Amino acid sequence: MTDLITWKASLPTPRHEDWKYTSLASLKQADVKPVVVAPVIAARGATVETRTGDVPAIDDVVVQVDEHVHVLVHEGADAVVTIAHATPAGALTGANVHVHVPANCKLHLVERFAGNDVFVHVPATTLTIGAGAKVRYVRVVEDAPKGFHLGTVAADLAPDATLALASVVLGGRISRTRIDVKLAKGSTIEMDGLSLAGKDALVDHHTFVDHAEPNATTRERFRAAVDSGGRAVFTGKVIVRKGAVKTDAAQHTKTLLLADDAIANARPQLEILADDVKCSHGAAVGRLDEEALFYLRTRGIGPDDARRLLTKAFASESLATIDDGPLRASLDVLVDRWLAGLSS
Amino acid sequence: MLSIKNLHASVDGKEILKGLTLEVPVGQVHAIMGPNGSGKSTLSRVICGHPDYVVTEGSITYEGVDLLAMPIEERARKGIFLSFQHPVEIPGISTAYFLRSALNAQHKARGEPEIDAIDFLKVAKEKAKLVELPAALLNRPLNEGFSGGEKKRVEIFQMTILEPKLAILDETDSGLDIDALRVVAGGINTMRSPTRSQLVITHHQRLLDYIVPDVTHVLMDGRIVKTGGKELAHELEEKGYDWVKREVAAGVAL
Repeated sequence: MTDLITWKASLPTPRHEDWKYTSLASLKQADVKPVVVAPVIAARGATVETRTGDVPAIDDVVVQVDEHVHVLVHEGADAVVTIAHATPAGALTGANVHVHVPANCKLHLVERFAGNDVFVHVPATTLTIGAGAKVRYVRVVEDAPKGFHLGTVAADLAPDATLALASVVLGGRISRTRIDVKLAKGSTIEMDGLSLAGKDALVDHHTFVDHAEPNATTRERFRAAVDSGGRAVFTGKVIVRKGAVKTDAAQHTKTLLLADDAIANARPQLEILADDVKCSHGAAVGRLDEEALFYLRTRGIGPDDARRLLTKAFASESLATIDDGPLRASLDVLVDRWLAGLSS
Repeated sequence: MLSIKNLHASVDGKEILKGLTLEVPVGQVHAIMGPNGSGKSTLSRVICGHPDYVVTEGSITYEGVDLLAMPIEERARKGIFLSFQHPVEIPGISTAYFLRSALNAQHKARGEPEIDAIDFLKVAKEKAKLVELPAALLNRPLNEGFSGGEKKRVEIFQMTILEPKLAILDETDSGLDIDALRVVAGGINTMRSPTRSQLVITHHQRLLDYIVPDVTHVLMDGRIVKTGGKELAHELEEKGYDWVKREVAAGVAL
């Protein structure tokens, strides 16, 4: 376990380009102690092993804990794995979860993060996805008004593999999710992100997709809704390396500002070094549609409820690809709870 | 039921309604006809309280109460319904969820019990049949990707669920082919009742072949310039709005 003072001192500051809009000054004040907290894992079609030992940090804020959990999907399996992290009050923790998916397997992976009161959670998830494998990964960070979540995901896709990732973040004092994806020939990443930044919350999605080989596809769709004093940050870097011909990459972000003092920072960063590629990006920031509000009110729905309903509609579009019924229903409950806390 | 006196209303500083006076008694169906730009849609939006429209003079009384002092949703909860000329699309919310939210908001405001999803669906499926809406459409996001005819049918469907006391139908016939028009008009007619009033706003006489009004008004340049019975609509269709214009100019109609 890293020494706490050294760790806090090593945290990046807004002078670091990747952390320009996400200051960790408040985190440094958090009264937390390092603890090892093992996640609770339920798996079908996969074996779970806990190993100790060092794995190199994959982001500038990974805390080294001794707990490493390996999820090994069985050959030829159609696996279902759920991982639940619950961080106790006052804890600084971050389990490392490594998911190994053999070639041509299927995996439905759900990882949920919750915490109590003041905590700092620095979890890291790595996914090694074999050739032709198909992985559905839903990541949910529940709201914790005093909690800090600095999560990282690193996915390495073999040729023709597909990863459909949904990252749903419902607030936190600061919630930052960094997603790194390395694509091989013919592989596909589909990313749907939803940042719900409530009052004074900061939600940051930081993505990096590396097209190193030809014929790979990226679809990024990120949405954010931001309440009074809140901030949503999105940085989406896509690099298309030399030789990665026939790359097809599209990135779209939509942000809904729910108050005058809500802030959004969206930075699409496309770096294209190859010829014969198809790349597009679009970023939109707006407010609730006045005509839609009028429409809802003419049906007897009060202004606050009308705003919530339209915000729910906006958020729901991000969840549309989640076809797991019970999971979707539980996300709807979380979204409704978040909406109930909106300032009017 | 609805009493409008000397109503003046502007949008973006431009006066659209210029002293409109109109009485709609309970149980009656009134048609308002007028050329494009005469203020028909403005009238419907002012009655419902659209924030872009400013009332500079005059009054609207509904069931004896000053309507202009009421917030938009309060007007709806008191029984006013507007069928939009251009219904809004709301991706992400199903038609059923939206409508149940609206119905329960009205019930709650009136101190009536709320309706759960299962009971609501039962009622909704029945009412959907009235306007020949497939039940599957209830699960689709509100108006998203609906055809013009479907949108109008969904408006009327909403009306049959919310059961308003005063329904304002703004150009409900626009964009409908003859079959859709018949279906929509049929839905509207099922709502005809001695305790309910309807204000049918239209450019064409066509719709009034199906929804026969008790009274027909002609709206021109922000005022009601002529009032008559159901035959007035036919007369207008034959002689055109220019005929009324000439009468107004000659001081006959007023």
